[in-house]
This record gives sequence, structure tokens and C-alpha cells, in this order.
Amino acid sequence: MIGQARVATGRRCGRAARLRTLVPIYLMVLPTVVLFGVFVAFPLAAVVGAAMLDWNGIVPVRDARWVALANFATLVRDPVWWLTVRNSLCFTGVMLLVETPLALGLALLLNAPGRAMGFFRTVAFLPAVTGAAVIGLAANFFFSPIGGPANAILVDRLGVLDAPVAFLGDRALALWTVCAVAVWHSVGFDVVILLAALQAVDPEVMAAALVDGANPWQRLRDVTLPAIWPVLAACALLTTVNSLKAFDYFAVMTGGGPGFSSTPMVMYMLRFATFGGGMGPATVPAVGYGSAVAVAIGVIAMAALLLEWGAARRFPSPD
Amino acid sequence: MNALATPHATPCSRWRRPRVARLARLAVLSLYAAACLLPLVWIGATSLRTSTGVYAAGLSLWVDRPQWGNYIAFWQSADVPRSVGISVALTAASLAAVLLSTSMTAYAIARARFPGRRLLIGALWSTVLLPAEMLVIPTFHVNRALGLIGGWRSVAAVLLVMTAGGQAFNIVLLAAHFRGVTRDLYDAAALDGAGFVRTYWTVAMPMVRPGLVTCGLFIFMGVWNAYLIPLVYLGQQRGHQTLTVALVQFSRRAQTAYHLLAAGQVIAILPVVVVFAAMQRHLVRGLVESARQRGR
Repeated sequence: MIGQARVATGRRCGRAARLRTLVPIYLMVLPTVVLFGVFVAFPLAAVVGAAMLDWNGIVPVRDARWVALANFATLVRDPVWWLTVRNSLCFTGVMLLVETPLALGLALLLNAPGRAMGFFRTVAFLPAVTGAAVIGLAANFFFSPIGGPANAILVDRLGVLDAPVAFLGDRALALWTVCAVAVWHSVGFDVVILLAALQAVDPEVMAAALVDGANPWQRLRDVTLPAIWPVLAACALLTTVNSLKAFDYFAVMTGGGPGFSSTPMVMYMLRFATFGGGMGPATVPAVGYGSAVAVAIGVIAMAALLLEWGAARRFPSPD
Repeated sequence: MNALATPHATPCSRWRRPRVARLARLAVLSLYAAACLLPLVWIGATSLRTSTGVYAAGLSLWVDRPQWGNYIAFWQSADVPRSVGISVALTAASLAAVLLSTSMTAYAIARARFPGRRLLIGALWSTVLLPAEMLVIPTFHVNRALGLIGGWRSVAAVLLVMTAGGQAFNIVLLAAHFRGVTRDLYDAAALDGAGFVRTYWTVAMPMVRPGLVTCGLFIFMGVWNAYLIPLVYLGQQRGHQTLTVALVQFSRRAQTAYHLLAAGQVIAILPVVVVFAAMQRHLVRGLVESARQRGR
């Protein structure tokens, strides 16, 4: 229609008519451009710039000292930073190696006709729609050494443990307990997405594979997986970026402790901001350094995504 | 359940194998359903116990004398009704702001050619998988420079930041839906004399309703459940906090009041669970459709 409008009036007074068609278009994209520019594009440039400053975030920014890459030089020699990188990578690894395959298996089981399946599908999704912070609060009591059901199972019912364990207060256990809660909480989301992909698999191709006498494993490898591969890859990418930036579970369940043993990268970044308490371990206003951490998080996330993207493209796609 | 109800079970081995497989499938899925549901039921049960009863309950999901008064007690504790109101208002405002702004942009880039279009698409696509958390610090300083810190201005800052954060993903999703609308409809609207903007509102928007519902559900879930952004802006603003932020701060103040805390968790969880249980079919349909249209 725009094209037609341009042809119809263009011959008479080209410039004015073109302006008349362009004005409503620009007005429609204006809110996005302003919001995106002010709260995404500019902050993205600003965080890279601030990473080159020695700035505590409290004095005016023009009083800050330009230090070029000194913040990054400090960062690569900061053992606590590398500990938080390790924590975030462990969390992401568990999500990719446990949550995603688990979601695929459950989606394959759920991919069958029947009214019971509709019930299972709805139930599978319920934990995933709740908030991570709220689930974290519930997990605090669930794993509590005083009256928590987890210890009630392990100590009283099964007798695996002699005495209650502080799952979230133990240096060796806190991170893995958070991982377990996160897997339980988010697996349903991937199940629903993968199930939608499975239901879009061409039934004729599957019928042909059955006629050819393919066994279930061959059907999975040669028909189902190639068909859902783009969606599976998208799930893995989303899981990766969401896990690398995870904060809510940790903030509510462990506060990053004991020490920094369960501090993820984002929580370490917030330590240097000027927001005030409640972010995790005691805050230190150093916005320049915090911005360097933010840039490093972005670089790690982009590297992980590119790596996975490259790996995902190697798999034979159906077309 | 269907497998169990089938009356004509033949002892022939060719039939027995699928039957066993189906029973095994049902068993695994039942275990999974229990794993999903029981913790949520446990939260509900905890919210109805007495302050000391929560510690003695162990694994039990049964409540002898339900303490409905816990909900009243939680509701009457500091700032709870206010924070529920702020969560509701923030979610509703974000829904309207994100859906309106992203659908306008998605429609424009799906249907029109204009200078700057490629730049806009490139900028949106390149940030769709960017971890938004890395922008928390500079965005906070932008809001401080704009004077959006303190009381209701902080709530407005949360709305702006969350609306901006929702742009890329929802535009990418909605543009696929707008591209899927057949040209004939647009041509018919043009013949009727409807302009670009009117066609958007009266022709295109009703056609992409499944996509709008999907986006709307994601936005609802994202804003209602949000913790980090509201914490950054409202953590210090007592009396202007969302329910989630207020709930976490309540848990820090009243460390052992698990029964009241659980009542708060139920209030925070129930709206999303009810909406999604009712809308799940639409969510899946919208997702499948957008995947198919992007594949074209």
C-alpha cells in the first residue's frame, strides 16, 4: 500500500508526498527509538566508556579519572572475579547438561495424544511461570536445617544423613542446591517450547520412517531431532544467556555466600554499584570497576552464544 | 489414563510391549507431575500452619486446623496492600506500554520501507540476546540524571526500564506475525481508503491477536515476577515496592515467620498460575505460529 501511495502521488509532487507517507511511519517507531536509545543503546555505549574510568559513581562523572584499560588489568588479576565466573559457568553447565536434556526427554514422553497429556502439559508448566525470587524464598525453608522437608526426608525418612545439613549455608553445597532449585523451576518452560516443536513435526515423514522399519532410536536421530533442531538450539541459547546472567535465585537463597562461594557474576558486578543494600555481599562504590565487570559479562555471554551457534549449525538440518 | 481404560487387552506379545511402554510412560509422567505440583502444594500447606506448626510438619501436606488468619496477618503487615497495588499497576502499565510500542514498530518494519529501517532492525536484533543485566548500572545513572529517583519517580523508572527492555524480543516476535498477514487484506483496506495507521489498528492488530496474547503472557510473567530491576530502583524506597521486593524484605525482617511468608508467596504465585493455567493453549499456539512464520 505504501508503494502504491508513492506511485500514485509521486509524479506530481514527489518530495511532499513522500514526506506525507514517511511521517506516520516515523511517529509509529518513535516510542521504540526513544526508549531503546535512552535505556539500551546509550547505556551500552556508556558502560564501555565508564569501564575506562576511575569513578566511584557518587562524584560528578566529569571529575572521574581516565584510566584506559587499567580496570580490566585489575579484573584479570582479581581472584574473586574468577571465582564468580566459575560459579556462573558451573550454574550454566548444569542448566545445559541437566535441564535441557531433561526437558527434551520429558517433551518426548509428553508428545502423545490423550486427555491425560493435556493435564501433564499444564502441570509441567506451572513451576516455570512463578517468580525465581519467590521460589527462592520457599526453597530457603525447604532446605532449612531447622524443620525443612529436605532434611526431614534425608534424616528421618531415609536415614541417609545422621544430622540435618544446612544446604544453603554450606560452602560446598550452596551453589549446587541453587542449581537443583533452578532446574526444577525452569525445566517446564523448555518442555512446553520443545513440545510445541515436536507437535509441528511432519507426521508423513514419521510414517515413512515407520514403514521403512526404523527403530525408535533411529526415528529420534534421523527424523525427530533434525526437525526440532532449530527450536532445541534456540532453547539452549536462551538457557545459556539466562543462566549466565542469573541473579534472583542467588540473591534470595544464599546472598552469594558463604563468602563468595555462591556469588554469580552479576551479583559481583552489583557489589560495585551505588544502589544500596540487599544486593549481596557488602557493596563498595566503584562504578568504573563495576562497568568493567559488566563489559566482561557481556563478552563472556557473547562468546558462549557464538560458540554454541557454531556448534548448532554443524548438525545436519532437515533442509 | 487412556491406556489403563482400554478393555481389550490381548495377551499376545505384540500388544503387550506397547502397553508396558505406555504404562512406564504414565508412571514417569506421574512422578514428574508430582514433582511439579507437590512443592507448590507444600507452600500452600505451610501458609495455613501455625508459627510453630511449620517446623513440626516435616513432609506432611495435611493441615489439621487451617489458619486462614495467616493471610489476614500478612496482609496487615507493613506496606503489603500497597505493594500488591504497585505490582498490579506496574504490570498493567508495562503490558499496555510494551504491546502498543512494539506492535507499532513491528508493523512499521514489517510493512513499510523507510530510511533507517535496516539500522533499526539491526540494532534490535543484535541486542535480543544481550544480557540486559550488564546495563543495570549505566541505566541507573541515566535515570538519576533524568531525575527519576525517589518515591513514585522510581516506580516510573522501573516502568521505563522494563518497557525498554521488552522492545527487542517482542518486536522480533510480532514482526513475524505481521509479515504473516496476507497482502490481500492490506490491499482491501487501502481500497476502502484506510491509511497506514488506520490499517494498523483496525486490520492488522486483530489479525495478529495470537502473537499479542503470547507477548502479553511473557510480559505479564516478566514484570510480575521481576526482582533485580525493581530491587535496584525500589530497594531503598519503602512504601513504593513491588510485591516481590517487599516479600524478600519481609523475609529478612521476620526471619522465622515462615507461615506468614508462605502466605505472601501464595499471593505472589497465584495470579500467574491461574492466568497461565487458563491461557496455556494460546501461548503454545502463538509460539508455534511465530516459529512457522519465521521459517518462511
